[in-house]
Amino acid sequence: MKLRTSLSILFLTIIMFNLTLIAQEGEEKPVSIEEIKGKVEGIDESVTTLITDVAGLKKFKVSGYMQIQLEKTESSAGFGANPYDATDSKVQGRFRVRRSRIKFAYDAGLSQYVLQGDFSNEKFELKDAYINFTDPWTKYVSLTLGVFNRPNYEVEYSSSQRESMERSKVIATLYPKERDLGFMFTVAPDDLFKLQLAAYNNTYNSDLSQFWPNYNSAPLYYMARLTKEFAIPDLGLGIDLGVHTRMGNMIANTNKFTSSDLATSAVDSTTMKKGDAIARNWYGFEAQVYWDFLGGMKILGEYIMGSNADESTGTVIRKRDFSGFYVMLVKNITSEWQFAAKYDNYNPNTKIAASAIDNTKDLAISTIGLGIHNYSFDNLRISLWYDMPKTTISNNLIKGKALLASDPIDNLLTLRFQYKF
Amino acid sequence: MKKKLILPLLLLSGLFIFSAFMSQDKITVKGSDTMVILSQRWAERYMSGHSNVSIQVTGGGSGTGISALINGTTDICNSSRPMKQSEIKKLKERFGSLGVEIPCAKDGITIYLHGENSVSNLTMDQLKQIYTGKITNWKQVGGKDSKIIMYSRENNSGTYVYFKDNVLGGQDYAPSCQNLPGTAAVVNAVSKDINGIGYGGHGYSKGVKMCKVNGIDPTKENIGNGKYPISRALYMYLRNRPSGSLKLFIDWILSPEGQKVVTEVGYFPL
Repeated sequence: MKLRTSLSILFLTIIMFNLTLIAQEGEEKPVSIEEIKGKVEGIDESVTTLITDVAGLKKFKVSGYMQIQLEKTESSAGFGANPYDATDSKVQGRFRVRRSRIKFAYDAGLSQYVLQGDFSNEKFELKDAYINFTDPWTKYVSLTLGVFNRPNYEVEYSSSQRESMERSKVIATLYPKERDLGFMFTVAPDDLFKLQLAAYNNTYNSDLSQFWPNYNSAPLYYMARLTKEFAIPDLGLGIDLGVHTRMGNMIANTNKFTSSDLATSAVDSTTMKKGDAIARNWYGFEAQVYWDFLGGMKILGEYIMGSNADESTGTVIRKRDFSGFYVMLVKNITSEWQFAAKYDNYNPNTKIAASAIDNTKDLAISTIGLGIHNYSFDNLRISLWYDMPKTTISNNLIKGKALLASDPIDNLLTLRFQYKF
Repeated sequence: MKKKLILPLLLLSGLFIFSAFMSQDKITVKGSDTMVILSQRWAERYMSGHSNVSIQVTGGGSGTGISALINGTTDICNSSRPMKQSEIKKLKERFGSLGVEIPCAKDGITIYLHGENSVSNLTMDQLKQIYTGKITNWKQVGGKDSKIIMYSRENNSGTYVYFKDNVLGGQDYAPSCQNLPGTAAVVNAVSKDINGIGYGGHGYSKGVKMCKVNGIDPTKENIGNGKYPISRALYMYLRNRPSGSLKLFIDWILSPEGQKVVTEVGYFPL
């Protein structure tokens, strides 16, 4: 409307100016009211067209966030001290652009187009590329197609909002890059429940940036998630509960494998043969509790267990039963300050004793994280977070040396500045 | 490493103290334009008896107010529509709270017509047909042979959303509908346009004719007892259950004294 008003005033001013000039030039061309009215109506039509164009542009939305952080590890061996940290840097402190996202969306109400990229790792990485349709009759069912988040609470919880610096170990392990290529039906009849049913290309551990099926995987894997929200407004209490599952197979490309109750070195070459399907199935339970207590607080948690399998050095398939969970407490101190504490645990092999583990991939790890966040400035969140990982000790002698004689010194301090728009 | 931690800790501690200091006895109210006059009257009346409290009221629309509540930039959000699930989800994620909904007045969305328009009654279905562009001439609803000029609010308005959901059945407004930034602008436009039709809060209907809907006048009685078909509650939303000066202000609004202001402004008490 402001545009319309401004343009109308501008056009009217021009007309009046011209009329004044005409009047000044002489009295030979008197302008009738009807003529002025016609011109104004013409301007009105033009402005209406412009308003329609602007309304179309309003459907196009750009958003994004950037996380710049200073990290400081206690380890003299640098960031590679933790067996799970792929970074093998010898430095103890570093600046880092952890995430730098920009998201383009066209929202036409019942359909959306979303494209999101990340520029943080010295390369461009595709994050989201999907279209979404909602049925126009009940508006209960929607279909999402493309590359998008897999249906899991912490996966879907945006990194720009999440209180811990990173996702839990179990989530990061099971859902690397969070997204995959596939389609998903979402059924959400009013406030009754939300059901997500999805199928994805079985990318397994192939180059995930390509999102193509892996040569030794079954064509597709399937996921489902059911959530239900409960609220007791009188107590200021909200409880959201949910379950999710992932079902799919890996196709063995070798006769060599180790099962969950065997160390990696104990290769079984008779039980399984090339071409067999190895289940990668798991189940998860989630709960989020929100309580309006002294400024608001929430407790978030998930527990996931099941069977996983991976290919070790291209020759041995490791079939493992695993479990993992996390619990996070977030408490508002004021509307601008927030405290958070998180405990997460991931045991990649629940059937083997620590003393028998002969591969660091089987070591359980638990992490306590503590942090505070500040929201004093518009668009900006400043976070100070301290992670204290504890890795299971294994005295299993490998070539005369314990696999892991003591918990690595690998606590990590992060000071993060996040700008979001 | 401990020495290196001192600077960021000092910085964060300073921000903490600063923010705590800034939050004393200053209440900000933002949101629904329908409620802005009502809210200003409440603030003026309350501050005249409570000189230690400063209340700042701004409009912008219900959607704008709800965004401000989620972003932590307002204490009270005025809204002429209930919060959506997606908005509650954002509040939960940021503040761990479901929000607190406080109905504070009742309103009937009044259909404004020019005083010389011969039409004085429209059905709900006719309103839907008009605003979705299927009825375009007053002749089709018993008036003279003239094009209907529709005025509406912008899409950040709670009244816009309520009208769309409850009168248009969720359908889109006709593209020819002219969106104006406030209810006063809608009333002003209709008062000057004999072919105009608009809608908005009952309290704004000065200088225009109030149209019956389904044969029912938007009177105090009809809106109060829900007989008038486009009646709704007006809400205040908070992030958390109120305490301190905020609670005292809310309690006063809901008291007979605060509800008297509701009537004075042209709305209806609870």
